[in-house]
Amino acid sequence: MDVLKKSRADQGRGKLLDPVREMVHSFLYSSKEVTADPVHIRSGMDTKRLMFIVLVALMPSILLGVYNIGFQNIKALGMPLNHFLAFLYGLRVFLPLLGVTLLVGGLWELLFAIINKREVTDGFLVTAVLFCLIVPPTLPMWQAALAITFGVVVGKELFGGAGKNILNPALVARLVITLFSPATMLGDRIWVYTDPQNSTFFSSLARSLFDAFTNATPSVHDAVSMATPLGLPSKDLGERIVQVLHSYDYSWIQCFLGTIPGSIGETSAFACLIGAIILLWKRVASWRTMIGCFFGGVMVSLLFYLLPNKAPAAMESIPPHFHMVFGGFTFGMVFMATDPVTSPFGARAKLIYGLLIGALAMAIRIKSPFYPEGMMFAILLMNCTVPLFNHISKKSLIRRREQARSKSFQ
Amino acid sequence: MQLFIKKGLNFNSICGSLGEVKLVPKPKNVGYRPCEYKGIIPNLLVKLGQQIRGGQPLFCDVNDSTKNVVSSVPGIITQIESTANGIVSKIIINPDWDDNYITHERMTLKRVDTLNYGEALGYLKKTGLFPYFRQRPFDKIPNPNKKPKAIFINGMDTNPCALNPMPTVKQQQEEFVLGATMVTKLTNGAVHLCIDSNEDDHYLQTIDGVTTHTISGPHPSGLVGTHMHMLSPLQKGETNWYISALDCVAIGSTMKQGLYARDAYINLAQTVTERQALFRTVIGAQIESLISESYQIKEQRIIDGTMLFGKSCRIDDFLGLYTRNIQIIPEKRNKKLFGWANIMQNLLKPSLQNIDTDKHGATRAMLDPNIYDQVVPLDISIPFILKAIEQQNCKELESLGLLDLGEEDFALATFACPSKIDICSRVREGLNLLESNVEY
Repeated sequence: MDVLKKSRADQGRGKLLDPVREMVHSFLYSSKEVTADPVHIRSGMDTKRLMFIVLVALMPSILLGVYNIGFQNIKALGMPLNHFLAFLYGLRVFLPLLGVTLLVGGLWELLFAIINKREVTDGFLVTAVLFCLIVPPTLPMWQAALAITFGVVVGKELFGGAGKNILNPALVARLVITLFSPATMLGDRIWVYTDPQNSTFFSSLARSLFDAFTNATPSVHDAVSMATPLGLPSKDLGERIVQVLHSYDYSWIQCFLGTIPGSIGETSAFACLIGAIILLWKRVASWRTMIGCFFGGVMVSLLFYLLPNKAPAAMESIPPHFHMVFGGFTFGMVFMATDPVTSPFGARAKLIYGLLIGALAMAIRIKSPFYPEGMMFAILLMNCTVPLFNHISKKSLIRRREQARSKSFQ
Repeated sequence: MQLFIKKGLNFNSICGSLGEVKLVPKPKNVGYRPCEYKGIIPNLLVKLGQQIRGGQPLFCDVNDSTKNVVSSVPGIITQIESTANGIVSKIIINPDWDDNYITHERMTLKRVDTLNYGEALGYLKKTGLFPYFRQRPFDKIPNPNKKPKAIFINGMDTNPCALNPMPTVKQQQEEFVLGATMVTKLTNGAVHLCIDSNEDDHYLQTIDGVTTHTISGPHPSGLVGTHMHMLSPLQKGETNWYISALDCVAIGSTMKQGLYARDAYINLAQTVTERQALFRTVIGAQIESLISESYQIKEQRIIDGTMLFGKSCRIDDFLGLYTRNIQIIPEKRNKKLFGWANIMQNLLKPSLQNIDTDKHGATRAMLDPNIYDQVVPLDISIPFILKAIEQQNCKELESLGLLDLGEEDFALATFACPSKIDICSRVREGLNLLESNVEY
């Protein structure tokens, strides 16, 4: 690296590419900076490591999500289940998506770093991975590229970069697709990835590699229709919802483990739970937000569940413990709501913030005929209220200090 | 009163054991840096080449000629340096170690009891002991015309490898009691003595007018800002004074003997070797005299203060009036490949192996404000304070509780900050802003 730096500096074109070199350097090595007056020692924790912990916590969700892509495909085609093949198939879908997201988002990040003459921030990797986990596996690549562009540019860079954004960039990216192209985010035909008819060069290359591995005969399928558990109530099947779920083979334990159709990373509450344990153990996420969110969700879904005169197949009739494992609720609770940048500061504020996210997410899910996945809207809405939270906690802190001053020990 | 502090970080694990007090060989030079005496704009009272007596004033405040700083040793002034705009920056004395000291009135406990505020203040100013007192807000030598709300005598220091004043205080109980009694004459309010809960405090209970508090818990339980925040938070216009228990001993010893107490107790910690030693030397001694010649200083940083809060200095610099610790830590060695990938280690916990001047990362925007709440036991919010500083909002800074805090109180948060924000320096900016806007 040092040799590279020197040669660049000699040629006088090091300046423009400084962020690139810095990025590679900071990826490979720990930082080279030393402390200055007055604090001469610093803890080993830095933002790079924070992000790495979040990535590690996301690993179970990624692995189970990738496996589930293949699992759903095999299930839809009625082929015999092979765990390894399912995982491999999932990787074939997930890696290109992640690659495109990283490439496009990374280029934007780099562009802004060059324009603003600063280093590339470490948060981007997490944003990209989070985004890939909250979209359906069938998302077209060009939409992924467009969405992450919005997420990075509008959601983050226009506010001044990582740490200064008020909205979660990954959710902004998802919101963009949801609003501009609802067809790719809603309905029954998007959750199971099968090979498209007009495959591009790369996907056919990938497929032939896959086929070489699996010894399978090449096949071309139409999109498979498969409703997610949350898609069921809108079908008005006239039966009790629990029975409907049963007839679709969506048992609670399956929903908990994540072997159901859905967005890539959010189907498995189990994986999210492991992630939550890692985040809480390393004290990266706030347990208050998580607990608040959980109870908010439980309370609202229980409230609707206990209401009389509801349609047997309606969303209201789903018991709370099912609500917890459906859709993106757990994933949002663990990884999105707890994002420290877009959370309020105080301890009590975090609890209420979480509570409101959970409650709002459930209310939107149960009462919105348009879009049952309320977690995204709930978190983005509550992100917008964070300045208000901070204002109130500041005022109460000031009041507390004034009381302390008047009561001080004499 | 007992105070229990739960949040914070314990630095005991990185400290070596302490030996007995060593007497340092007499330093060749003794120096004073007037800029260290915040609150005094120096007006030079001596000339180059002048023979001075021990305890003779070297410089005084431009506005208050009784607020002066005296020489700890008799000798000849060999060097006077000034900055470009004519402010004296360094006075170097070549000591001759005669007993040529200015004598003052000796005081007994009975005599002290009869003093009023003006007389006590006059004695402290005349003997040159007044600069030992500092005030919050702003950590500067106080304005003597304004009585403090309370005075804090600090008998503990929880900074890493810091000097524990209590063994010395215990050895010189009589002087300490004399000094503390003098301190009680300076305020109508309370005088708080804060000591560690493990200390034997029965001999301290008898001092009239002094309330003893025992404090337990990790750092920052030993910082005077923590004590003030809990016991006597400040309103706009009020001041608290504080003084170290060791300086109280110096006051007592001056009163007992009638001579300026020149002794300085310095704890020298060298983290590479886990060595710690307590030295007795004179105020203003050259740091060189503390460090044995065999010791290699190459690629080490010498810190006047502690590694958590101090000023880096050179080996030929001089001990300040408030210097209690000199610490030497290694400069950062090398960068590690994939250093960020190790998540098992509890990185917030300092260990002897990773004590060096590594910043462990680059400065970023504030990503995770939760971490401050984990280590700061005070009822403050660092994000709000930083924002108010950025907005230059003085009123808000006052009400958020910055008045009873100093830079030092934010050192632990700076240590823990994952975004590597230099909170201490920002707080300094905020305090300067307050100081320039309001008269205290």
